[in-house]
Amino acid sequence: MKSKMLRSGVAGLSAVALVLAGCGRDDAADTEVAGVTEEPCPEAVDQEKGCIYLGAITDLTGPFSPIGAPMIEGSQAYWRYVNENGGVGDYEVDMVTHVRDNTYNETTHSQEYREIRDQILMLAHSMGTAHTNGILDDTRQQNIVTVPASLGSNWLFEEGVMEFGTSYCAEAMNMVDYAVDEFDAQSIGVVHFPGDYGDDAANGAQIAAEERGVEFFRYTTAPGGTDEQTAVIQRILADRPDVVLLSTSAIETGAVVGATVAQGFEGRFIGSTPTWSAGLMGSQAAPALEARYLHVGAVAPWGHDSEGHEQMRQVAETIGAEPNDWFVLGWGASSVIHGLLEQAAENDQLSRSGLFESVDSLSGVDTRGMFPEGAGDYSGELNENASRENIVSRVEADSPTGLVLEEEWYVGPTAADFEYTEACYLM
Amino acid sequence: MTQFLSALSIGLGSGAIYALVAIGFVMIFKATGVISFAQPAFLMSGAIIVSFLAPLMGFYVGAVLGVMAIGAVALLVERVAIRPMIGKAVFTIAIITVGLDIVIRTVAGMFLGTQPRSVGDPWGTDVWVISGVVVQQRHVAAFVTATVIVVALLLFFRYSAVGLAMRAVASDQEAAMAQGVSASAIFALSWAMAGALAAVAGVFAATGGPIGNTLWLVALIALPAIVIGGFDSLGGAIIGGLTIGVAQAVVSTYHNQWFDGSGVLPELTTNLGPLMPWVIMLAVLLVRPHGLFGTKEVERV
Repeated sequence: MKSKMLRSGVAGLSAVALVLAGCGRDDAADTEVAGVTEEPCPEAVDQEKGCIYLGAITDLTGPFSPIGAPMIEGSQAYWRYVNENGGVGDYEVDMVTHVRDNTYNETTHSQEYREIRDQILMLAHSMGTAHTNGILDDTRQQNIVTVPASLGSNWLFEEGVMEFGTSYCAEAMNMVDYAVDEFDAQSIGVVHFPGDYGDDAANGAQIAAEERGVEFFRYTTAPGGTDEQTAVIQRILADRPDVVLLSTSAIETGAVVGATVAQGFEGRFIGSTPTWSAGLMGSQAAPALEARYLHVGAVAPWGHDSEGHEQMRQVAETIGAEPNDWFVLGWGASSVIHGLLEQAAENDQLSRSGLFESVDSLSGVDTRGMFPEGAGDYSGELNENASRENIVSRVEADSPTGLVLEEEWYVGPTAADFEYTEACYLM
Repeated sequence: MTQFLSALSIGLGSGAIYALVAIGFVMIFKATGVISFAQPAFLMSGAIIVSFLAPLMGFYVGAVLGVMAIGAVALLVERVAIRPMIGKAVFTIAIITVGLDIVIRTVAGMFLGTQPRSVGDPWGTDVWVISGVVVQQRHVAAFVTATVIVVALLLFFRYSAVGLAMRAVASDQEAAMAQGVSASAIFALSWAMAGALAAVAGVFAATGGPIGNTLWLVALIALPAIVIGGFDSLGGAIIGGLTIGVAQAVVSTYHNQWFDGSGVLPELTTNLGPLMPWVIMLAVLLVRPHGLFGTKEVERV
């Protein structure tokens, strides 16, 4: 009898083991609710609450550290604010423990992801388009919702990716339409990096230029200061477009604007989201930027008057954070993620697969004026929900980050009517 | 013609910067037989430290003190990390300098912070337009400064006791030591001077705009310069630096006219200017493997 019971027990255990093995890694992870613990967060406000761990892989020491570091700081400030105001359901949120530096290296990004993969509920910040693409198959296999810290139009087509803000492609369309409508531009040039950021923007600009019937010049460039921009500077001075669009980083913005204006160029400049940094106000290009440059971005600058901005500035003051528009973007992106976590918690779906399902049913988030009305809607067809609005800012030396609002949530006719069929930089 | 002369002025300005870095490479190589890959870190660190000092004491004082500080750092690095490796394989020491470069650049990058910084130079993006030729003032400043430094170095090596000792060590280390020259002190001095030269180059490379995390790449462009000129030739480093600077600027300026798809040449959207140092280097190596002015190695068979 004993022997029969033993055999039955072993057979039962074996069956359970086989079933678990057959279910695969996903269900096993869900059983454990990876990234969610009943233990409080390391820096918990309320010791009675559990902890949701968010992962972040960004550039903290490489070429894009001026973007990555303040974005993470803004995100952390946001979750601090959330935790101090009750958290998410029965949990607080930790986006400190699993923050990793990819030094903007794809291999490092992948290695860091594998190190934190089993400890996070979702990847709330993944910097670098190619870097993020490199881990996307695995994040999908693991049901890890991923939030890219870039605005490539490719993210609109990726399952399990929660993009925020207007794509570089639509942003550049708005830049062209703004140049035509506000400055009566008859010719437009675009200075851009090659690849998923610059080409996404340049292709969007080209689409808009063709729609509006303006002459179009395209200048590919590489990162670097004034000497590295010699070719582009000479081309602009030779072609003399009415407006030059920039889809580079802030370094090239200072170099190109400063040198071309000093050498007699009389046109205007409009820059994509990553082209601005408050540090440019301390450069020799500052007078030229103040006179000729407009910034088109995903969120309003630091000093903007919205409820979200006001809350952000209050929290920033308590932690001694300096004004920075990338901090604003980090805060704003986290407010969208907050909406997802709230919905999942309300629906008792606070697991990886639960979040995966929640993204598709999320129909909007209140970002308190950080993003336009309708932001955070991932529920329908992508062309209905893709963000197409941009903030237009001008340079003003007295403002906290050098930018002040010129026009809120501008949408040009090209971006408004554009139908995405594939990523712009693949067009 | 005005366009060509404008490109020439850009090339001579940037070439002077490459020449300063190249001289540093050559000084260490002549003294120790090692190519120091830490030069990019010293270049970037020099610009960063001046960006902190210039607002406090003005550009000129800040630049002098910043350059001296980087010279001291290079001296310290040599004493701590390189000196104990004397006698080890040259390859091993070169790899150590690669590690030093990464460490120093990472630490310096932390000070760069999240906002672009500027060295606060007085030239900025100001230009002179002379009969249609656009000349950037910062390029003139770089060229003049490099010329003064090169002349001072030549006088130093020719007439000062220390300079003569450095030449002696470079020529024949054992014979120099037999004459009472401290090779150890000469190694240290070579590193300090090379670090300071890289810092000067970094300051001028950073003029006219904000300092980026990629500023150190300027130093790598000096590598073709020393290959072209010859690893052990100071004069060759200067000629090599100016050659690649001018070639790069001319091709960058004319690229889009040459490769616009309407002529014999194909359409190319990627500018070939940055490739020119490496193309010239390959061409020179095929003809003169030891560079234009380098010492030809003689092997007894």
